[in-house]
Amino acid sequence: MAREDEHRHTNLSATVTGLTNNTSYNFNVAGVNTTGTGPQSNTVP
Amino acid sequence: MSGSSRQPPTPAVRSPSPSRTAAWTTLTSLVSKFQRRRIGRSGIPVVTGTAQNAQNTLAWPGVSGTAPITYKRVPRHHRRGEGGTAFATNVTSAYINSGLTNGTPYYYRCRQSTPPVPLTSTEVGPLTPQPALPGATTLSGSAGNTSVSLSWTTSSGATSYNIYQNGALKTNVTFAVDEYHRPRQRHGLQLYRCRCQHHRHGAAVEHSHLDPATGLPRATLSGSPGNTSAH
Repeated sequence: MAREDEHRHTNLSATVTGLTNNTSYNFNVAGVNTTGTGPQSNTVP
Repeated sequence: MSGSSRQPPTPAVRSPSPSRTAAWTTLTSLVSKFQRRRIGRSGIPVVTGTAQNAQNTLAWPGVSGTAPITYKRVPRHHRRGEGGTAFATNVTSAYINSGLTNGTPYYYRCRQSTPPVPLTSTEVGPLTPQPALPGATTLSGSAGNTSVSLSWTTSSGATSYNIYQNGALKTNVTFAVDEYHRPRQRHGLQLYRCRCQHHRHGAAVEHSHLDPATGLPRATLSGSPGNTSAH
């Protein structure tokens, strides 16, 4: 049983650098486990 | 008078060509293998098993009669007829053995023994349950100066995430759960204990740090296309 003062935090973020300004990029994310890769997320332009 | 008897003409026997003989032998062998696969060496229909997420599904479609079936999970190196734990008795159709550990191989013995049907028994395994594919996630992002910040919701069952840039896999970072304990007050200070882990060029990197602004663990991924590193 988790203690009341115990928390779990998952950081799901990333910063992609080295890009060219005024250039369009599309990004997707998909979860992965030992079975395979899940569906891709929505596209972020 | 000489009794002459006319012998019936001997039918000509054509010996099969070597190629026909070889083809017939191959066909016979294939049929034999197919039958063994379907009915088993002892003539008993085989059990079909399907491994799924945390469960195995068993079915014995070829067994004759309507007598109840007992499904028993047995150790890997058991001797026939020994050991095992029955988890389903008096079932007449497919059965799901749930609550299993993914990645662990399981072996089963299935038996139908109620008279008047003669006792039949067969085995199946290993069946190794595997986790389901990760669920969907929702991505959001914001553009910066030569950079893009991405954040996404948790994908159920995921142990890592793939990031795709313009449809191409960009990097694979394992986001372990950052665990921390809500502060214990010590001398008036809020103390956090955390652990975060991710992969850096294939090697696991584990460290602990806090975001000074929020007091929460922080992990970021940065880099340039094709040469992404984590820190």
